[in-house]
Amino acid sequence: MKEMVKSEGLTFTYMEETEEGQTGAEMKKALDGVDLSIRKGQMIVILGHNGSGKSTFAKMLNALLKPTSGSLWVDGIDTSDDEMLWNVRQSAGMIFQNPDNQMIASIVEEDVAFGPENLGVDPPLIRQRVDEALEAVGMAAYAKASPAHLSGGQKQRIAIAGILAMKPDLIVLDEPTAMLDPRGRAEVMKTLQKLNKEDNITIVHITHYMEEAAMADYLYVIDQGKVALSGTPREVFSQVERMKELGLDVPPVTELAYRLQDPVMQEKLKARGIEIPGDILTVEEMVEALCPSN
Amino acid sequence: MLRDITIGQYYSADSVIHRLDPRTKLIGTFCFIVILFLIKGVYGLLIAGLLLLLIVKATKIPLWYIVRGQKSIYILLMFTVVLNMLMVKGDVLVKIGFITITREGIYTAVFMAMRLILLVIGCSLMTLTTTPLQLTDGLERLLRPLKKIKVPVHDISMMMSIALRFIPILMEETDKIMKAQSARGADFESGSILQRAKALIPVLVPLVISAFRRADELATAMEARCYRGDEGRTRMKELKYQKRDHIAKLVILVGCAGLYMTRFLPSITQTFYAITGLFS
Repeated sequence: MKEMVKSEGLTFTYMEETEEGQTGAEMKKALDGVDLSIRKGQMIVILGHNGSGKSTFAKMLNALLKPTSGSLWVDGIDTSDDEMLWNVRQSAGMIFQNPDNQMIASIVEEDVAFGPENLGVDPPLIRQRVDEALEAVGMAAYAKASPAHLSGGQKQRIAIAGILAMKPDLIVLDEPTAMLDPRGRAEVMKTLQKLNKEDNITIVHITHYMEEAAMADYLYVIDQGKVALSGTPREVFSQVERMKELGLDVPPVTELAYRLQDPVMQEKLKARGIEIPGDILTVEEMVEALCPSN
Repeated sequence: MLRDITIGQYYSADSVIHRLDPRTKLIGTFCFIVILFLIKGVYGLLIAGLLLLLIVKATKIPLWYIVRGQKSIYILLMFTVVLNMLMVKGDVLVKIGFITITREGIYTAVFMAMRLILLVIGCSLMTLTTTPLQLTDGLERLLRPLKKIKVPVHDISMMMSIALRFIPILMEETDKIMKAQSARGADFESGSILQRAKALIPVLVPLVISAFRRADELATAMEARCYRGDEGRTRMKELKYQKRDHIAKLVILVGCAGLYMTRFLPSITQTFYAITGLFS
């Protein structure tokens, strides 16, 4: 499979801006030698506590920020190449945390059309893309509505449609569910999974929610600008102690399973003929372990 | 209270007026404003009001919705009425102390109030029936000739549409901040005007800061969606004049001409004097 994103020694340093608008002293190394590669069609989750550099990484994927040193390729394009800037932004769509602050128009379909309009797509084709994109996120019925009257989850799905209409290969989401209620979160996650599975769009999802991270194909945990852990959710979450060191949680069910690995607990469980593996990710798996007859 | 303001807000409905080309509506509104200032008598304004009412009917927007949205201009309206009543000199009708109310005063006050109401309703009809993006698109197209003399027409219209888009969001935010400050004991309701103005500072500061943060995020989001100004940009809904637009323009022309003619009607002041004459 082809690589969608590849980085080598990716480093980014925020510079202090002097009054003349020139870059002055170094302020903070947000990313420090990140090497990773994301294959096409994968669903990737990036974890990390606040200030770990994960949002910086997201902005670099969209060429909003350029590497201070090292390189980053998106779909084979070097993001530091100014000539290809708009190609990078077209193929790597970006969704931000606050749904209100990324909507330009006061009508849903006009907002979705904003991206393709910027790309200079033919008017009839824009119409078609907008309708398809709204259909894909299940918001076709709201095409003429005003975003002000929609819920957070719906607004975020409109934002996703706005990116879809630009026909990206990769969607980068920077904590898209942080401001949503549980129902909105579920809506957005369902949409993302559908896009990933059915339309084969690569997804890079930055989140704080471990339940969402558990749905990924592959996880990267970033700490102080470096990749601290990586692997499938099962591999990463089974390292409960290491995750805690990094200031992160694991899904509650995983933590429960982990605690049950204690020899005393194991003894008690064994006495009842129950065996619980240490790498449980979902509630369903726990149910299965407890009542195998199901 | 703040939520009720409908200035600059779009009201979604399916009507002929909604479907008109934004340029037609812009031209129509502009003509309407000009003609309002050319009309001399109350008769003319009454006819203009009647025509406006017909247009409101055609937009399928409930009248109460429009009227409710004008709340914010009531203060201005009162101001105009009171000032005109007291300041205009002429035949004295009532005299209490230093306050004198004249015939001409009442007449001018009524006339000015009507003009102001018609003006605001006329303008809000345009924004109610046109989405901000259409509106600014129309404006951009109408002002396109100015581009030749280096006026950044596209940028201005983009700024306008974003401003309109953020009105409800900032309103909601003001409401939220006011409530948050009230919960901590801020008092916006009592005290002198100066005290009340001072009480607004803790509302304005966070509001302005948050507006800047929003602007920053929005700019990033726009860049991420490949926005690079006017260059190479297309539109989903290209503006094209339809048959209905030509008809509408004809209606505008005839309407304006008709309203202008009211200048030559026998002056209403005579009727007015006759009525007020009964009381003096």
